[in-house]
Amino acid sequence: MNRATAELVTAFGAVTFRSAHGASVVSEGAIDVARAAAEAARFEPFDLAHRGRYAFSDARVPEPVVTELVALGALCTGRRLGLRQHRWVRMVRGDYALEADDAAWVPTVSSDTSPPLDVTLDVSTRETGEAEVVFTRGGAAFFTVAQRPGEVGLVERSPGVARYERYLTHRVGDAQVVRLRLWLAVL
Amino acid sequence: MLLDPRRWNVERLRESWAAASPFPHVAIDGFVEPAALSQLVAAFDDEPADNIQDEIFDVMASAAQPAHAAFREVYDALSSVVVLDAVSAVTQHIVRGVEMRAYAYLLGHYLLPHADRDLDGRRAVAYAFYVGHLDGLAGGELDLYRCDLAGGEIVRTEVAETIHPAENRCVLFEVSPRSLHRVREVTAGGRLSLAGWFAR
Repeated sequence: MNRATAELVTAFGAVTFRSAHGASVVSEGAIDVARAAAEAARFEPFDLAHRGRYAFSDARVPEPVVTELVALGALCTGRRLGLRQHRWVRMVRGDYALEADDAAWVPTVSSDTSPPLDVTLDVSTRETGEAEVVFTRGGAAFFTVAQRPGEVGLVERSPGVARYERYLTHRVGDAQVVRLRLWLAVL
Repeated sequence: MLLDPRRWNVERLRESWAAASPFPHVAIDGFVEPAALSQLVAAFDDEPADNIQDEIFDVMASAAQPAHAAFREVYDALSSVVVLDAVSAVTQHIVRGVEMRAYAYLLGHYLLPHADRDLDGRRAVAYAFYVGHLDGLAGGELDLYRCDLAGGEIVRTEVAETIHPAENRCVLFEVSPRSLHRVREVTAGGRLSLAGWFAR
C-alpha cells in the first residue's frame, strides 16, 4: 500500500459519513487502460432537464480497473466487495447531473444491509476546476470530489445520501470530463 | 408612484396568462416608473450579498429581505393591496403576501432547470423583475420547459418558451410541479433582478 492509499483509507474511516478522495491511489496503468476504454466506448446523449444533461456509456470496464477499484474499496470498508453496476459519464460545457438523476440510477439502499460504496474514477485528460461531484445528506453537502485526472472518490451510500455533479460553465471551453462510476456492494 | 397596476391591462394580461404555453405565465413590460430604475441598479452596489451555490444555482443573492431602501420600496409596493389584487386578477390565484430577494447573475452564474418547491403550500406565483443589465449581457434568459409525461414520470423535456430579461420587465409564472424553468448561464455582463413569490 502506497502512502496516498494509506492516507485515503485513514481519511475514509475518520469521518461520520465515511468518504474519502485522492489521487495516486490507482496505478497509472489502470488509469491509462480506463481512459482507453472510455475513448473506445460509444456514448449516448442523455437530456432530461429536471435530471441532467450528459453522455453515458455502459461499455464494459476493463478487468484490471475493476480489480484495483474493488481492492481499494475493500481496504477502505474492511469488507469483501463486488461490482454491482457501472457507468461511464462524459460531460462538456452546459452539462450537469442532479440528485434526481442519481436517484433514478442507483439501487434502493436498505438500512438493514451494509451500505454500498459509490466509487468515482476521473479519467479526463484536463482539470477544469468545475464539475465537482457533491454528496449530500438531508440536503446539506458533506463531501466533494474535485474534478482532476486520476482522482478517485469513495463514498459509503447510507440511506439518505444523494449525489449530484455540478454544472460546467462556459469557462471550461472545449474540455471533456470523463468519469467511471462504480457501485460496489458486499458480496 | 413606483408601481401602479392601474396602468396594466388586466383583462389582456389575464388572457395571456391563461393561454400561455407551456404553463401559465405573463410578461409585464414597463413594470415600474422608468425614473426609478437607475436608483435600483445603483442599489445593487450597496446591498450586502453572498455568492450562493447549490445543486441548481450559482448566483449572488441578498438576504431574504433586502436591506436597501430602494429595494424595500419595491417590496412595499409589491405587498400593497392594489398590486396583490391585480396579480390575483391576472393569475386567478388569490395572493396575500410577497417574498423577495435581490439577485445578481454575473459571469458564469446560472439557475438549472427545476420546478419551484412550495413545501408549505403558500407560494402560488413566481416572479422575476428585471431591473437592469451590466455591460454587454449575454445569457440570463428565462427558459420555460414543456414536459411530456408517461406513467406519471417526465420522459421528455424541451424549452418551449424563452423570455429575454429586458430591462423593466416583470415575468409572472405559476408555481406547480410542471413549471420547469431555468436561467441560462450568463456568459458576458450581468443580470440584475428582484425575484421571489407571491404567496397565498
